[in-house]
Amino acid sequence: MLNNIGETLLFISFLAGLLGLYSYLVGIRKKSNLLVFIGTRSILAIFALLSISVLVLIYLLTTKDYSNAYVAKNISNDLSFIYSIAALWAGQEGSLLLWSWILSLYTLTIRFSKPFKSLLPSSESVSLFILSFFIFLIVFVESPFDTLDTIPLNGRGLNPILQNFYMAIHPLTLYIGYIALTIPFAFALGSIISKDKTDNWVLRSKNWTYFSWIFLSLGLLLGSRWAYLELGWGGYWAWDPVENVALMPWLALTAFLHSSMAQETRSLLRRWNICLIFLAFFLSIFGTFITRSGLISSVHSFAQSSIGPYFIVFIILTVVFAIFMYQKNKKLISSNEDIVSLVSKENFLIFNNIFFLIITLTVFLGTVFPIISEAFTGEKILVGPTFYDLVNFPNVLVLMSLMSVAPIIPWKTGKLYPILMLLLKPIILSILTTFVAYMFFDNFKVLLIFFISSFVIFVILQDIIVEFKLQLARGLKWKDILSKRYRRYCSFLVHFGIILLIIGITLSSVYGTKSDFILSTGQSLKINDYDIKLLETYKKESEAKNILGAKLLLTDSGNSYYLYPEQNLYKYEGNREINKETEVAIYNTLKKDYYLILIDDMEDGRFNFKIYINPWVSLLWIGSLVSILGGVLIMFRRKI
Amino acid sequence: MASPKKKIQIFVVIIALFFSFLIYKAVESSLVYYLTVSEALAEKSSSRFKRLRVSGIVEEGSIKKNSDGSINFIITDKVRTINVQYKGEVPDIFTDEIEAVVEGELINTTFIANKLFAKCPTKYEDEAYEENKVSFVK
Repeated sequence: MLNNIGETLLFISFLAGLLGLYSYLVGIRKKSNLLVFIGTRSILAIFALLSISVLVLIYLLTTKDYSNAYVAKNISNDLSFIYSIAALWAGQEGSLLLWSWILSLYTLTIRFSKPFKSLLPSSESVSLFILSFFIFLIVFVESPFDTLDTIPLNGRGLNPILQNFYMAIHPLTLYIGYIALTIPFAFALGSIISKDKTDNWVLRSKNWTYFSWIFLSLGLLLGSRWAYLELGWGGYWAWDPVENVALMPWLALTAFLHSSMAQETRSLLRRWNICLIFLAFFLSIFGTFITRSGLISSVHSFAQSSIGPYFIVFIILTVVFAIFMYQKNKKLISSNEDIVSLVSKENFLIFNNIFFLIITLTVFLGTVFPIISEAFTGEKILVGPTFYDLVNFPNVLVLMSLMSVAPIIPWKTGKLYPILMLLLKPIILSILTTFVAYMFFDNFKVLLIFFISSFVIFVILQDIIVEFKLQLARGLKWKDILSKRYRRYCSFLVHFGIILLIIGITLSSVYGTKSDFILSTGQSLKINDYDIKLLETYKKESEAKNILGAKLLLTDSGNSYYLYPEQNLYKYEGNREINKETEVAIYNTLKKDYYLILIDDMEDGRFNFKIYINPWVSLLWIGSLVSILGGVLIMFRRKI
Repeated sequence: MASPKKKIQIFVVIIALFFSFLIYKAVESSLVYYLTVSEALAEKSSSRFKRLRVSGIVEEGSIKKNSDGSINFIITDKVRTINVQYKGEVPDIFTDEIEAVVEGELINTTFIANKLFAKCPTKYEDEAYEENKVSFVK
């Protein structure tokens, strides 16, 4: 019954999408306000219909109504209420429904962009077109309201691995960020379609791009944290295709956030920005396609299904249309001004973009390499993590150097000499810092990163100090200076976070160690500069699982830590093919993470372990959070 | 004097050349061939495969624990089989009859792996899983 209602609601929303698209097409051409009005009303209708559909599916999930195929696949009797809701995005059909709902909400908000009324109909129609595609998928290809002929007593259930706090929020966060890219894309394409010659679309997109950036960053952070905690997913980052395709839109978007400043301030790079936002959007769709089609094998293989070919058609249609419209109208969007000098902020923003795009291209190449090689040589060849490390390291160095200089260079013409003078003190200080660091660290890569990092930080500090001295002398208050320089200081915060992140990545990858060892109870062992002792092992049984655990004492430079790694064996329930779950014991300190795995009971009184010592991983999490905080502050800029 | 735009263009070309070269070198040094069991066995005499990644189904009952903490198991593509030796942490979903991917070297008839991936953590759906199996058998 409810299934039928859900199915009908989705079908009506698809019809509403078609009606809306038709009204917009004719309405925009004939300049008919009535037809455009019908279009906007159809978006409202779609939002209402999808909202009810989502609620219906949530109701079916939480009441465990196994007559619904999706519920039977993703829920089981023992699943808690929270995970029953989270199961909404655990499978393909539910994800697509949620995706459509979020996009319909976003599309609805376009019309509140009052100051740019002329852009609205065309932007809304672009967004509505994309929305209609996703509704098409859930109506005709992957319906979340399919029914089962025989109703099972228990569902298949969610994997134990997925019954996890990160499962509950990581996909949702990424969706929110990914989908938000549709709106700037719609503004850009809408602006071209309506032959708008102003920079309105960029101004209008600004908050959407910040919003998207914040959620994409948060999604990536949560994802890498989850992969770090979950065994077998290769640590916080493994250059796995699924990770890569989530990173690419972030890279393109970050490039856009920088280059769009040139358009806001000087009306420069107008065509370039349109291309960049197109790229970011296409990469987000490409990511969805790759993860959902199973085209490239990944450790995180997702539910694979038949939506691949539809996606290809959709991507080709959208790309061809966008490029066609761009080619047709690009004369209208030429920049009025030109770059006057190489020593100017706009030029450095271009450099920023070049290097961001090189990283994007590198990641793209590495990701699709197996497909390309198979097409040309008939053999599947992968490129390993060393590929990314080799190419990206110089890129990151250059980008970090830009991070120091670019923010302090003025627009238009900057004179070289005063800027070099400004950099003098920071350079001297960072050389000194690097010498101090040399006493503790011996790795060239690390020292190089330290040098550039401290350089960036000293430039930032100098800029803030000089500004405050100057303005305080002029009689301004602290608050006034902060609000005057608000955006600049927020961007410093973002940059500072990125610096911490890079230091964390460098130190943990250069100085990380791992060792395998076997111990019997009471036995202890010295590995490198720490001692480890197996105190006891225990077996426990709970309602859902059998637990094999161990208690170990780790002593490192006078500090003692107790670690409890476990192996859980879930009792057979439903039809899961996964019933084992390794609980890694992690002891986080600021300086080091002790990451201990109980691999196996050797069944001769001995136990098999593996320990990773990951230094300074904490900086990675802290840095990311600082950056995201900076992004949030920029988005909610207000006068203090 | 060339205009700033020209200079930027020249700069871009230089950067592009440098990174093309770097990408070429990086690809060369990190190549991993991805083969099925039969392909790996057929190519084992060929020296161009330094590092291999081989995928196959873990044969039922073939997983054996050794006293040094390593494990042995057999992967198959339903035509031929390879004996794999691996030491390290084992993914939770690694068990009989799943698709495993091992990375390492094929020495004589034993594959010495130092990486072990098991496919399907987020594969929630039955049919998709069954479909995969079928296509694999084909």
